[in-house]
Amino acid sequence: MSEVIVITSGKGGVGKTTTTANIGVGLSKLGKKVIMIDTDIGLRNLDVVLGLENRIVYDLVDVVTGVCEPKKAAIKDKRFNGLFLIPAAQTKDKDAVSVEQMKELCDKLREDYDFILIDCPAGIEQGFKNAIAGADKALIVTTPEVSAVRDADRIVGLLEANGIDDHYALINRIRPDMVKRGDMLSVDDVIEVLNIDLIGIVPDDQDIIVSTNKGEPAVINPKSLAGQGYRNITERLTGNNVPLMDLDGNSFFGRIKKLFGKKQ
Amino acid sequence: MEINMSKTENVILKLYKEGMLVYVNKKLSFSELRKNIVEKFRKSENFFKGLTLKVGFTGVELSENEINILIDAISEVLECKAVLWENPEPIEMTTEDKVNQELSGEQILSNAFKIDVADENTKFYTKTIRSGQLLESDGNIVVVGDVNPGAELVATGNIVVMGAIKGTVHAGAKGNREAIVVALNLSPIQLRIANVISRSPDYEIERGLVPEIAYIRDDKIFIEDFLQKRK
Repeated sequence: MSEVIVITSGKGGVGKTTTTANIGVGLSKLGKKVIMIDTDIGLRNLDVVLGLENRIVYDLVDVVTGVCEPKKAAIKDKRFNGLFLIPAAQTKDKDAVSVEQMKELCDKLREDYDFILIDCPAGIEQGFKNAIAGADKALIVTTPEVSAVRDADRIVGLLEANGIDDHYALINRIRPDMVKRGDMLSVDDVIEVLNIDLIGIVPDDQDIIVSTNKGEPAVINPKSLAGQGYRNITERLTGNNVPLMDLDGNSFFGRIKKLFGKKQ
Repeated sequence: MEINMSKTENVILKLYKEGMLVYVNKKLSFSELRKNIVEKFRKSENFFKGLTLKVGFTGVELSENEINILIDAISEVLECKAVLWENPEPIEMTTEDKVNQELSGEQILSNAFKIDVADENTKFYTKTIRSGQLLESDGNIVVVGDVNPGAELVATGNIVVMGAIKGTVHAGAKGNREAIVVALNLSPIQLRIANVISRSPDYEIERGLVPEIAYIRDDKIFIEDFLQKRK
């Protein structure tokens, strides 16, 4: 059974593309066949984050307009078995693709892939409408900032209005030290406003910037905290129950909790 | 019967188990007396609506005709059936009596929600209202859920939220100043009733999570602990 998951946020710069890349790689590492679609036409990024920029021949607009078959446009990531990417077009704009075309494409891809990940552009205009058109499930990426949470809330409303009720929050760039000081919204604060289920948290991690620039997703780095966060999320997406990341790992109680596998 | 009378008060009302007793303090002309009594009763209008209330008078000699005029005036102000309490011998109400006298739920509602808004249509929503969503109603709005920051409710009648109001709400949008806003957690970004606007303070206020009610008094929006008000 295949699943179409849209990764969205409303606000820009909260980590949609990084999240898409990491979840894509993480799922392929778990043996799934995954295709990622970058719908941010005109501001294409996902290929860069994955280090696949130099291999683009065809793009999303070519696929939906019938210039080529999806299979031909899909770039295979040679480092990971079963990971593919349909990049966005850089020279067109968001109106080059319609909602119907996206739906059709998603349905076509279901036959060949376990997971279809759609990287949504920021905003709530045409690009957003295209991205969510064929989705079964939505991951709403937010950071613990009031503005990001506000936009995420707006997105939840729009998703529900479009019939996507299977949605989860992903809280990115949590800084446990700041939360503890009361300088940052906590996971509970964010979930209280959004009132939706949490798929996972990703701690703030400088390694992410390095890995993004190098085109090597953090999820494959066993030492990276953010990578651990993404690995947990991919586990949950495949139906495995793993406890929420213990950001307080150094404390005595934190370790005890870990020892007993305390959930959430 | 001893009662403390402040010198400024011409007329004092006191509620007893049997009914309401009107103490008249000063020698007043009948028309003045009537005006004073009506004004006093006006303050408790709605509370006795639809009920039968015994009203007695003390401290003043009244003819039968005058009594009838006063009783009629009180009935009209309170929208209740006032009857004369002859030869009043008041018994002080104990707390227990007061509890026993508690009004039925329906009466409480009709007291809290002025009749002209209570009769309007009501729209029910059982979902969280999120940022960017606008709900409008030509009548009342009831939300079972939260109203998140960035969401907006606009009702010509009352707004009741069984959850938190963190967005913007506007009750009595067509100018009904009797409209009220009630929420389990009333922390709106902006709260408007008719043409009166209030906004949340720029600083954080420490307070417990109590249901609150907002209404207009003296051209300002008042917010009160709803449970205290009901007591």
